[in-house]
Amino acid sequence: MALPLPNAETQARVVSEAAQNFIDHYYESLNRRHGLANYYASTSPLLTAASVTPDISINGRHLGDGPGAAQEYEALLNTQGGPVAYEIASFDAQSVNANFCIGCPESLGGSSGASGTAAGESGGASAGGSSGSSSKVQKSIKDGDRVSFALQVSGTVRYGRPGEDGAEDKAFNESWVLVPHWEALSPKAARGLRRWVVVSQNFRVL
Amino acid sequence: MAPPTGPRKGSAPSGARNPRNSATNGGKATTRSGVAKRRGAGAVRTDRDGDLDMDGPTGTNGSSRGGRRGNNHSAQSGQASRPPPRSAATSSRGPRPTAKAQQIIQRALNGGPGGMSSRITSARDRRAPATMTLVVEGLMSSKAASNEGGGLKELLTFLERKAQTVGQTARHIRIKKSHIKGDFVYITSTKEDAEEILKVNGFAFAGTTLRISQSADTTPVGGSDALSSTLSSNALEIKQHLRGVLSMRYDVNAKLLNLSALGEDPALAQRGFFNGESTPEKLFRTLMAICEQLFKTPQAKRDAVVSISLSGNNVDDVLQIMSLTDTFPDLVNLDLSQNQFKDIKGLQKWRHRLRNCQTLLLNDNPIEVMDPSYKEELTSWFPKLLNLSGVQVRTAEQVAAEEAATRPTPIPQSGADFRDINGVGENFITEFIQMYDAGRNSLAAKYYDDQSTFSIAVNSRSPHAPDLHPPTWGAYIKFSRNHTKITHTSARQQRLFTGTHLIQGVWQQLPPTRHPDLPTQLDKYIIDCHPVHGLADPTGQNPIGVDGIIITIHGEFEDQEPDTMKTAKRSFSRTFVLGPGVPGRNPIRVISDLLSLKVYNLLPASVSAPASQPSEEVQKQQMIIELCKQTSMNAEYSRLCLDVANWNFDQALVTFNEKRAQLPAEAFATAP
Repeated sequence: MALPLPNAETQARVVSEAAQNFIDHYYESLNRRHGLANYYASTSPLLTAASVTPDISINGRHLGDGPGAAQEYEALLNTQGGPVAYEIASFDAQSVNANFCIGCPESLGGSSGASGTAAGESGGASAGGSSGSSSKVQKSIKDGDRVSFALQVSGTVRYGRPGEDGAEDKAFNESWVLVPHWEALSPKAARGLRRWVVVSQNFRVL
Repeated sequence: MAPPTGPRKGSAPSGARNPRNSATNGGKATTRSGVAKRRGAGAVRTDRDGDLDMDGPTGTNGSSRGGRRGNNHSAQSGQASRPPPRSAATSSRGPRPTAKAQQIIQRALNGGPGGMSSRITSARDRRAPATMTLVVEGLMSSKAASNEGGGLKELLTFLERKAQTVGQTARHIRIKKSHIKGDFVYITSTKEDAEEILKVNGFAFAGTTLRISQSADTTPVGGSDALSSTLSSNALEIKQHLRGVLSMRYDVNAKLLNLSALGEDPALAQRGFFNGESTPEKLFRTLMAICEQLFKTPQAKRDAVVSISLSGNNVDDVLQIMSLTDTFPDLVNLDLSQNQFKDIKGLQKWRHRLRNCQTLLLNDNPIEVMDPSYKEELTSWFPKLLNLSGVQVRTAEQVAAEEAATRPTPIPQSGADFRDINGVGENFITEFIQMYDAGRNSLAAKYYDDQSTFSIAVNSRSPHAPDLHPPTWGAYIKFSRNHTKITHTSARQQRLFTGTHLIQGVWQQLPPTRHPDLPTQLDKYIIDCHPVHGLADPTGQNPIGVDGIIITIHGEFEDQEPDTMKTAKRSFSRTFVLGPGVPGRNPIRVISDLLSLKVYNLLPASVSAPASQPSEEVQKQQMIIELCKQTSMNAEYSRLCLDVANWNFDQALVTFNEKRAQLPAEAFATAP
């Protein structure tokens, strides 16, 4: 069953761009202590329904799987207080799965078991619509819309204001896995949705 | 007396070697404002050669002395083209409380009219290692000697300025003390300044040639010893008296220094502290300066004086008692009641001081009536203020909460979050670390396939211990795929290695490494792992993908650059995404391998919660596991055995060996 997977160059390019975009926004939100919920898989009902939930591990503390993990992390950040600033010094990303499928809605070519043809539930739509959407789906896959990727970030956490009593700089490493955000791929997607969302987060101050 | 140490100091007559303690040295010292006054008088001007122009302040030709020198005109133009050296020096120096305290004591205690026969300027740094005393000969024979004040001021200015010019130094040469003794002028400055001043030896000054040499007596300056040695006996007596006043007003139990109603103190009135030039302000500064000397460390001061009362002193602006916050910056309770504070402005100068003040009493001050809103303002100024004029403005809990809010509490470190699947992660990482040092080729062949990817990213900006010299990254940087540095798509493509062969290729080019042995030195690593879903199924059978795990390992290694043979220790973080292997090959494959390198840093100790309940349970669990291992008993019997031995592991082993024969077969996990 040969799928029109994106080639290596496409995967690498898409992943690099997605990683850059994620880094730029996530750590900005983190430093400003804005909401982080939008970055996690729990923001997607489709992924959540398919049991794809963020697995967050912060300094070795596993923040219970499930939709509440992101909230738990934000609570942990509130406890940490401020001022704390995360500065990125290095990041690198690689494609993990060229065609991530879990939770993909039928409208986007996913369904239980179907991988090329859309087995629509409503008979009429499946005949006519499937060929059209099938080519769209194929293009979407080929363009790398559905890659999942691993991302490793290395940087510095600054606790306190530089120069003040108790101010301290620490190295940190944060490893991530992000998967496609199906709602954002839909033609009727609301504006401002993240294209990829977090399913695995591993943070360590070092 | 110390033997001569400098080549030129033989010129100093022995009788004048120790001028400082002489009783005649009762002259008035000046501060920097004294310096400014000196300049303001306009008595000092120099021509291009640095010679002193003896013209009066106006410098007009019509002045009585104006015609004496033929080069008067050029002297003026020469002066005009130069920036005034003293004013620059004055503005660039910040006051140092301690040195300033010495000055103040000196001035206040030596009070009274008189020419300037000695002077102190604040030391640039009170930790200045040592001073040197020089003897200057020539002032008496110079034309400056006929100046008002004997020409000393002019001489000092000349020396300071010339020494700076001759030495071509950017810093300001400063003479800290001076003293006339007969035909000689003794000057004291820091050792390095003195060395510059010595270079002015032989220079012409106001029609004479200066001879400068090192004086025999050089005493280190540093704190009260130097100060007391420079005080006249009269001053010492006054100081002693004031110490007495302070000790009478100090309540050792309450840690209270009661400086209330100083004007009515008979002991002070009797000495005439409020007559003539002496003012209450001066007295207060003197008292503070003496306090400053009484305590060796800031901590000693904090311990001894918690509260100060200044009530009933007619103070209407804290400027008058500014030295209080210099001397007692950490004061906790301050009584300013029954003074004349009228408004907030009178307290403005303390807005950013007294950061630890908890009680501030302003009762019976006009401000109570004239500006009743002062309380909100003052409360906001002093973050720890609890009691303002007898009214509680904060609780201690509020202070603690506010303080906590300004400081982060880093998220604590927990032990490994290692949620493995059937030991896959543990086996992989143990083998990986060992084989990465010993046999990278076979490692790559075993766990990596055509789809596996590897890349490396160097973080050269990671924080590290200050004493650590960061290694270079030459052997790694050409492969580094750090996206913050490598921004072009093609360069990023080139540095992503896909497939066993490319990965083997780059691993061969990376320096050989030595990682700490993982099973025995687990404390050198932090390893977290947990399952991930939706990985590509290498068989292609499961369209929604397969499960795997993600491992992040943090640790250190030593490497050796092949070209230079240089070794270096580095820290690394490495992230692996592992999934099931292709049928017919190793059951586990590496999907992604992301290596991040940075300067060496000791890993944080994972939580060592002080003997709390959970960690105790963890310890018990570890003992049970160990006992199971060593005795082949099952967990239940191991626990029982340890319980009997009161969780003493060695005792449990002894018990086991004693009772072994009596144990039922069910006590053992498997047949021993």
